[in-house]
Amino acid sequence: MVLREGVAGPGELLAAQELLDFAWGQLRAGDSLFDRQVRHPMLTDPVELYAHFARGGYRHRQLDELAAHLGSLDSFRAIEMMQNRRLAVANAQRVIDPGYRCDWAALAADTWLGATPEPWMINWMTGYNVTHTVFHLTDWGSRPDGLPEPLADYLATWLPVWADIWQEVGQWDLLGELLIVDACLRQPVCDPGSWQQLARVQHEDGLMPRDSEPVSPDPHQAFKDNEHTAVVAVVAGTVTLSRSLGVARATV
Amino acid sequence: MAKLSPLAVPGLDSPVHEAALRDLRALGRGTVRAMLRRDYRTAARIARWLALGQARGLEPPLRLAPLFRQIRLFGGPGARTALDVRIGERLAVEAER
Repeated sequence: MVLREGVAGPGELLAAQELLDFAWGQLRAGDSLFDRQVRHPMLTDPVELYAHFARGGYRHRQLDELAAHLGSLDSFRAIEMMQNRRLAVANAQRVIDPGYRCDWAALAADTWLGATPEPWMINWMTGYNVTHTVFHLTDWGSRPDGLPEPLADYLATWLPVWADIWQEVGQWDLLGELLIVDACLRQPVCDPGSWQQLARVQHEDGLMPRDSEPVSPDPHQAFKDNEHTAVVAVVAGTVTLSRSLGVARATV
Repeated sequence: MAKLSPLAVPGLDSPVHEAALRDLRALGRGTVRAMLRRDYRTAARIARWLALGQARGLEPPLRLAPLFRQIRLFGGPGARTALDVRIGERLAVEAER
């Protein structure tokens, strides 16, 4: 995301590149993902993970071919999973191959968000299901048009309420994801004060706590407990900054 | 607006009524906030304004029948809440006539 948006400072861009290089090396330049996918053809995580590297220019020819083949199988497309996860797989396929075709409208309609349901009947897990639905439909904000109009209107009304509520109970991780959703809309609707709140709870060393519970004094445990929120904060900050700067989005 | 909910009855008009009915979306948001805080008493009060709006031909941002049913089932034994729900439901039904 950091590299795609290109709005970070040179130090951060370099860090992002180095992190991707390192991770790709850990995956044996994609061979680990390929081996895993061949061993377990009905797992979707190799394709989902590969997409992020493909996005960054790290390609593996056999993985490309394998992803295309699996995407052509009814069985692979119909593997039972959460609806928003199905969107994750579809977006991953689309990132790997922009020519990938699927019924985005049907996949969207099948999600909780797609039902545009009673906004007062939501819980923490559903909140995450909503955020992920938006991430994948819009490819993390690069395709705002990927969000069907009724869903965009629905979010414009209710997203600020959900952000307020989860902010009230100190669920910083989910708040961060809701702010990413805000940046995926045509116009942001959430209170900018939420960003100030996140800045206030950030630790001196940069750690973003996932919630208002005390952070473990053991640095290793603290990392494990809050690593997800670090990623959320980086993506949220990146996409929001990019949208506010009005950077034109590429279609791929 | 929650505190002014006793004014949300048919046949009354005032600057308060005009202000309330001008922004049903804000009232809807207030209602949902209250619901998510499990503050059913406040939710019922604010929702009365939505019901009044619906009775006057405006379109609330929420379906009111399930909302009032939820408050009735989850909102505890308070008589005041029950009253606000009953009035809200009657107002909402008015609109369907």
